[in-house]
Amino acid sequence: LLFANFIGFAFAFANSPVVSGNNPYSRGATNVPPVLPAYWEYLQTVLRGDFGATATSEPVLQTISRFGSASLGLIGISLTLSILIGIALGRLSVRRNRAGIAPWLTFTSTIGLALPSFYVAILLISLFLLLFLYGTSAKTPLIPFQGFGWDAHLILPVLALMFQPTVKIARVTGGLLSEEMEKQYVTAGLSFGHSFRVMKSRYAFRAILAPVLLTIAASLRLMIAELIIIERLFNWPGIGRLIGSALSVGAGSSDLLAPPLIAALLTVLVATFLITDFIATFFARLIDPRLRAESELKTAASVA
Amino acid sequence: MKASPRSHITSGFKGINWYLVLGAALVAFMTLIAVSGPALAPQDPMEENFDLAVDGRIRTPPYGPGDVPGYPLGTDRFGRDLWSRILWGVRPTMIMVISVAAVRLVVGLILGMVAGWSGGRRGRILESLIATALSIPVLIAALIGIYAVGIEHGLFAFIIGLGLTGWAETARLVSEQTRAIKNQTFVEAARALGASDRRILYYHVLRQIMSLLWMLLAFEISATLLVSAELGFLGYYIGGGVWIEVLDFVSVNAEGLPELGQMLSSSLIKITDPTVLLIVGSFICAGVLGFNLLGEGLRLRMSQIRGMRRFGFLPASVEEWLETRVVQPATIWLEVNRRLVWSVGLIALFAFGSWVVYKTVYFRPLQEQTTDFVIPGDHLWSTERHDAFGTLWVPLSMDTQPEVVWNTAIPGGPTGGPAVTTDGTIIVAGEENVVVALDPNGSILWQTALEQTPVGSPALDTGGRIFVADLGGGVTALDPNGTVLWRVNASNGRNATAGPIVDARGYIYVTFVDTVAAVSPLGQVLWRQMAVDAYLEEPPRLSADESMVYLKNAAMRAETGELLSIDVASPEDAIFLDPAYFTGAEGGNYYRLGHQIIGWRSAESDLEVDPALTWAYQSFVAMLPEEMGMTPASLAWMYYTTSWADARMVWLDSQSRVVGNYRFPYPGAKLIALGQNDEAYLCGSTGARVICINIPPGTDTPVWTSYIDNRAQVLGGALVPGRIYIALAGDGLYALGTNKTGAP
Repeated sequence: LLFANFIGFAFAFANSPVVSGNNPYSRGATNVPPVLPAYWEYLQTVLRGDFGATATSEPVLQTISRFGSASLGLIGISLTLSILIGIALGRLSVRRNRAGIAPWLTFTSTIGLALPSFYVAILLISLFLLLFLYGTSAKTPLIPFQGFGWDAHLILPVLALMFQPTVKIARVTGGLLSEEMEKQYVTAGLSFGHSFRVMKSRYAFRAILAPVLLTIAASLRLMIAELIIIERLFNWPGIGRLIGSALSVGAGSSDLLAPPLIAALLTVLVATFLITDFIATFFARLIDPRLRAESELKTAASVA
Repeated sequence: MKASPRSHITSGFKGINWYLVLGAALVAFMTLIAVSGPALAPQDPMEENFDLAVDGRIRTPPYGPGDVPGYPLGTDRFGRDLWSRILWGVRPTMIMVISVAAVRLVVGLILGMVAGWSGGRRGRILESLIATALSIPVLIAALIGIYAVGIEHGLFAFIIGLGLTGWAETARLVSEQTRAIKNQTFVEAARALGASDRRILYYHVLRQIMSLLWMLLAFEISATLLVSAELGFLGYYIGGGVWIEVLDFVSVNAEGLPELGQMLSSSLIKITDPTVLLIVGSFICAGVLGFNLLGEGLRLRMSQIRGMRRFGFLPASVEEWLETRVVQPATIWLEVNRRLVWSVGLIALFAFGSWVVYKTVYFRPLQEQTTDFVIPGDHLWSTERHDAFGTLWVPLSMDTQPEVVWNTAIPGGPTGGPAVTTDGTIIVAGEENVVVALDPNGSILWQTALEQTPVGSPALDTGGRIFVADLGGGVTALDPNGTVLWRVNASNGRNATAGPIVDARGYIYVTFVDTVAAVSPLGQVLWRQMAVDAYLEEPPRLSADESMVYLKNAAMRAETGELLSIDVASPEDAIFLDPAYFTGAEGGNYYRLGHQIIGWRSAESDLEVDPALTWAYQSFVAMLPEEMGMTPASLAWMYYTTSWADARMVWLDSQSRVVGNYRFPYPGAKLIALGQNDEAYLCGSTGARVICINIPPGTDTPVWTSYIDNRAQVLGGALVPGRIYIALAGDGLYALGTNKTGAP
């Protein structure tokens, strides 16, 4: 974490003069002062509980928590929905009378994975724009496609954000499930008279839950990256837009490459990734005894 | 289960590997565009159009798809043909994507193989490295990587940024495969024969993995394309790095050179008009989808028929014919002439690469607009805004810090800035109804009393005669020696609100509150025309060909005063945007609307929007520009000043990029002139003294700063060789200069 924090700080610190130096008209000093003393100073203020302030002199922590809560809601809803829908679709795609996953899912997911989230977002925006312009006589759009709010404002960003993860989860679930259904214990169970449905949803599904969980964690990471784009498109005041504006020259943000802000943002991101990974692995172990056995074997081997 | 386990996947329908076919078709399409797109483009991708007719009416861009014949997909907001831009833009994008994918593939292959092969600590470290790289989202890693390298390094930055963690997916797959192969018997056999690890890896493992190569490459390309699109969307694209190209004329085009990511980025202007975004996005998606399908198809083919059928998508008989008549002889021939094939292949590859580089780097530069427009320079400073065109631009610079050389009191204080004749004589009007002439050393040459209190700066005609407008609504003409020639009452009882301007024929134009009056050289009033319903304290401007007189958004025929109309923007839009016509120092006609500058030209009978450029300052400034202009280098500038807020000078280049934005923290500061190198000379009162600076675009540090120990308000000034003259209210004229002796 400290490493990430340092990288973020040093990166912004070293780059902000370079960026302004890229302006050919600029005659300002472009030599970078040594980063370590500056970072040490920063660390000392952090230890005193002061994470620095943004250009509007709002404390960085407060900024992040303000933007973060907006993002968290978006991600939470999207993730829940995409888990539910993805797993449902994946399970639906495995049928009794044919092996493998249904062609419709393969096809949809191949196309779905080729659609970047920003494209989905633009499609949605265009669709509702057209509906608004030609479909209705209402004064306000059917669904607001810009801005922030815990109401109908959520619909489009959530849709755009959950599209790829849903397809991914569905595909992984379907693929693993169909593989699982070809295993011998399933054949045995079927021959003992268990219904296909029971075998699928009770036994096989439980067996694949762990890798699906890891996929969900990967989806969450994907979502966080996509946030940068989605929040920009939908004008959603979240952490993604904060990152985007702090890192992109064109955004005209006064917080461009502010070392404390970037350091804190990067730390939060890396922490999120680490925690996600940890939780996913933990639950995967909890669910799947095979993983535990394997790791125990490994530790045993390393001890020996 | 009747069907064999995988049969339904292999064939979507009728035993054809549809993924492969569709993917190959899309990829072939993209390749075709990448290779021959520029040759197919119907329009010049860089050509900007501002006057295309839509349904019989001239309209400004962007034009929608199908609006204009010859522009099938419409245009972007500069009127550049979208279809041509896409045809041009695929190539650089594909070059970037393929190089990045190749780098990722090689790194992933090596790391994956080593990780899969070696156990122990090294294996574990590599495995955890792969896991870490996998866990960081590529988009964020790429953002940081590209930023760290510096986007101005172009392709290199992208290879680093996208390759930073991008190799992980391949590495994971390869390491899994390697581990599987490691336990196979032929590896054991090779080892038993005494082969080294390296040899086994190279001859056995790599050979096995090579079969995956094309599939991996396809997936890598699609993944890279996806991420690069997202990056482009965020403003990170090849040739990005806004500032780099401004000075260097060759690379100015690099920004305009179409690239898919850049097109995405620049089309995100208004979210409520996503047409361009949608079209470009669809194109990228087609590419991603094509490579994805291709990879998927390759994987399917490999899983069903390992290496047996080369042409899985063809009927069996055709395939057999191909196999025996084409493939096998070819294989044998290739085997025999291996060296020749290699060298020919390498040469071809090199040639193709050089051709691509040549095509990419030596892009046809924009045709520069040349013009033989000459700002009259026989007088050093002929009127309030330097010349009758109102350019404020002078073909000289003052690079060293000047000091106050002299100051001369003007009776009652000056009414405005000075005029400076060819021989350096300075003419100033004073509040106590006088016109004063000073020599370059500040001594009074002559002083002439007037009937009425003058207004603004005097103006000079080519013969050196002096014209002064006054509060009585009159215009007075003086000869170069200060003798009054005539005075004419040019308005119906209204006072003049600014100094006059004089055109080449000697006609004088003066602003009277809201009206422009034209006076002949002999003192007859030619016409009067109400221009704008407002109280205007600025002189009119002449058009470059001197056929028109502008005052704010009124354009009048110089001969008759007849009002002309131009539909640059609808009048409803214009009300609060303080629109104004003006003439550029390079001779162009311009129109400023809010913070936007639009070029146009005059046609035979009327005015129409010109295929010129638009400069838009995405302003956060609430006030509107007081002065604006265009330098000969087509750098647009706007000067914001009010009596209550800081002044601000903004320079924009032809791509609407802000190349300079300088805040001059003194309310009511005056822009004296723009110099040869587009630098601005600003003077303002700090409250304790007057500060004058020379500020070039793009920096916050003035070249020099000079002070005058006087707290009076700056009324105007003039920049002449070696001197800046500043008129201070209630006081007199100050000369700032670098040497004591008189100039010129």
